[in-house]
Amino acid sequence: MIHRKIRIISQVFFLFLFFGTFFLLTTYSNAVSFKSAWFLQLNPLTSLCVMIAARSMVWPLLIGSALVFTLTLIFGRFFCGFICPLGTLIDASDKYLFGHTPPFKAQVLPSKLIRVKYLLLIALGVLALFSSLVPLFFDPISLLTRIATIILVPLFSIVRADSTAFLQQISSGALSFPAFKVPLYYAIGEALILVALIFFGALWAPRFYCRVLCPSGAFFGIVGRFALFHRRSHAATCHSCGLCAKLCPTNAIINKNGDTTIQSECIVCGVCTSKKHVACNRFVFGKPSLAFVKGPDLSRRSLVAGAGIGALLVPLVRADALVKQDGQGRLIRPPGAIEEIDFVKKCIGCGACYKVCPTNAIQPCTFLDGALRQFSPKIVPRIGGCEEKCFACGHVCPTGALRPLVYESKKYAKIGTAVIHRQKCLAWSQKRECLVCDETCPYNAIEASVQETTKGPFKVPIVYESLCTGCGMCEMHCPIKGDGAIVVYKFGENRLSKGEYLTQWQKKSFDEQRQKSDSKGMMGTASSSSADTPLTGFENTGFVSQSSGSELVDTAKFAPQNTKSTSSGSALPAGFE
Amino acid sequence: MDLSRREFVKSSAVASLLAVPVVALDQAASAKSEVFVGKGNAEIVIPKILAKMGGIGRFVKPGSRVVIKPNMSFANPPEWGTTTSPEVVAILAKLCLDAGAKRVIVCDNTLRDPQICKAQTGIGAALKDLKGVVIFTPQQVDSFYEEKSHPKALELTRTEVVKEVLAADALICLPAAKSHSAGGVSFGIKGLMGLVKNRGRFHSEMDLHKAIAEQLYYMTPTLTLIDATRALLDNGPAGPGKVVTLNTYVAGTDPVATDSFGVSLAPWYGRSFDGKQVTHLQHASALGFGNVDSAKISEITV
Repeated sequence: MIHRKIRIISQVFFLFLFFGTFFLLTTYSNAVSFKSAWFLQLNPLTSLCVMIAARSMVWPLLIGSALVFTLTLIFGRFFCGFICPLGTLIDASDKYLFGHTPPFKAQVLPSKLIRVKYLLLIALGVLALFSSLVPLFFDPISLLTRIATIILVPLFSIVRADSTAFLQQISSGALSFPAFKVPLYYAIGEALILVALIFFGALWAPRFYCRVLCPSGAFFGIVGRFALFHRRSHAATCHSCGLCAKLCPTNAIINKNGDTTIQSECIVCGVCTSKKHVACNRFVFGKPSLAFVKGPDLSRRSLVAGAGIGALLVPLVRADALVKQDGQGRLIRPPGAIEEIDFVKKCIGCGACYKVCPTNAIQPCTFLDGALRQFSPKIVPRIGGCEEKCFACGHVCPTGALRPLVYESKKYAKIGTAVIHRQKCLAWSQKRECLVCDETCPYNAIEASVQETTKGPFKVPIVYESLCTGCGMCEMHCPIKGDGAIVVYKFGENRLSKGEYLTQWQKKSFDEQRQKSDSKGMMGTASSSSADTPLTGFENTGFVSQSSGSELVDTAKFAPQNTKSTSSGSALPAGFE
Repeated sequence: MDLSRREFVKSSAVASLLAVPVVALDQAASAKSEVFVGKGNAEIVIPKILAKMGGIGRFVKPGSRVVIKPNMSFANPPEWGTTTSPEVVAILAKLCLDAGAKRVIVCDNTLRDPQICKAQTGIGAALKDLKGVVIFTPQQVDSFYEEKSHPKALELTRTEVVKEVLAADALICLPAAKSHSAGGVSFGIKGLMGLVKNRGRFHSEMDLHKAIAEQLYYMTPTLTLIDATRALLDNGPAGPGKVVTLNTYVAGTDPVATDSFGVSLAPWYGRSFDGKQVTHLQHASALGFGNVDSAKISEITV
């Protein structure tokens, strides 16, 4: 009884810990100062597969995983019963939505189904050997993080936005207004399929996902096969009633007299020790007696089948050619993403980065981006640009697929380059005053300059590639419908798996280059090329020269880069006549 | 056409009634607009200016709801001159509260992420302790806007305006003085673009300058107060560019005249302009929203 109570307390504790970390720490304001990835680093299977795939040590994954691994050797699948927040949610939904309460009526599943998780485990292991991760079922923690991000976060935000608007209306504005953007995500269909697979398995049996689909469960089952802490039925008091077999939610007690446990199925939940029902079961420490503690029911044939499945999937997910093709050059990874070929080996698609992104720019990849990339992050500038002063995503990544950047290094971790499609641009093709891209660019990489367009000289935007970091603010705000007239492509991206983004020498020349391209800016071009062209917004009716006696400050010194030169010459700036 | 005497009397009565406001408006337009200018410490100068204008009570009645529209679209520090100085926003908000305003709503549909803008501009911190003041960034949330149309508008025939602004008792424009890549300069009237939902249309579907001016059909600023603590002389509106410290504050009830006077405060892009030369101000004046001509603006120094 005490066992069951401790288990429930532990489950609720870790559930709150998980969602607390998720909602309170995995945020733009807290991501850098608090570590929020630790929960995602607990699963030894994930860590092992990432390390096998990446063929290297991934240090942040080591400590938590090693701890859970060691404890599993002692306590068996305690992670499933005591910690896993997804398991806790499944328990709750099984009980309250599907009415599964002990003694269970339908917890027996065919052994072929039970075997599926081992097949998945072996298949994933084979894939990892071929340096591929399929971030789909791997890890219940990343699965839950991803589902919560893609489904719960938008849901809560929509409810919050709508109720704020409603309350504001009925209270005629007496309430305060929070500033927020409702985040929405791609791949919501895939996420809903995962939810269905996880929770609707209860139509057949309790803990369906954990028993049939979860490769981590299979891994814990194998690791904890000879767990020291295990169930023993007390022979003297057992009267072979068979009730404990019915009490076990995972059907780990199989025979009628209740003396045999399938250790790899037992999640140490302690329901079988419930005094309300039986008195003969208890958990003991000690060397398990192999006569009564059994392992997974795996034939050599099923091992081969699992390996075969994994091998067949290798070409699907490995396809290097597809990795290089990357969606017409539009697959922009968040800043700090390591080289693509390494990135796909490390990213487990947990979704913490898209949760933390304040502008909703980071989106999950879908199957259209390749099976290998499902749920890995990409930046969709049309939805949001990458904020100049934000680098939260790298700080919540559990595996180091995104490197934790700081403001200084983010400047050089270029993610792409903006390109103006002149035939679509309002200024270039229609001689309309727009320049919203110039207005929004946080890096001063877009210059408004008078150029010869097909319809005569006009003030148009020009991109300076050396200043552009690919943040996509311009693309986000471009008023052209559909694809913008200014589009960020991934070429020019600066992705490194390790080391400084630029050497000191390169940085110096880079900064100089920025200055140089800056000094070619709008006013210089304007005055030299077409001095008499009226620039937008001003009207040419003669001007008096006036000198201001006030103190003049060039804010360029506050800027991350140097700014463009002062205006000179007689051409009229935009907006005057 | 048969016109009975009764009908004639009736219609001429109606016509004369209709003529009254037209004549009055005409007179208003021909009269000189007063612009109040003060230089020095904002904390002293702004209350002085408002006192000279007849006290803030002229604009803010006890129990009223006031919308203040600052520039806070960019996630830059106030030194860049791209956003309104946080101190000035706080001073004005406090004056409104002191005048008995029930609620002061500092509203801007920011271009960059609102949270980051609030933090970087310092406006969030400056208003934190003022009870009754809220920062409202309606962004692209439909339910915060109401679609409006105006029969006289030629370019901006319809637009979504922030509901709070339509419901407010007073709208105070509190722009930073800055240059603008497309609009020339950006003061109060240009700043009204922060109170509509879809700004892209201004560029893609309309004549930008006319559309900026026609916003005045939908929103009438009760008061414009230009914060020229600093002026961003070039590379506006986002900066970084040349910033000059002026510590000057300009207020007026005529939005066009106030903006027009603001143009004369500093040399934009290295040379001096007259308010008349700014296209959107010219349009606004032509539409009868105020005086752009410096001859029709009387400067009252405080």
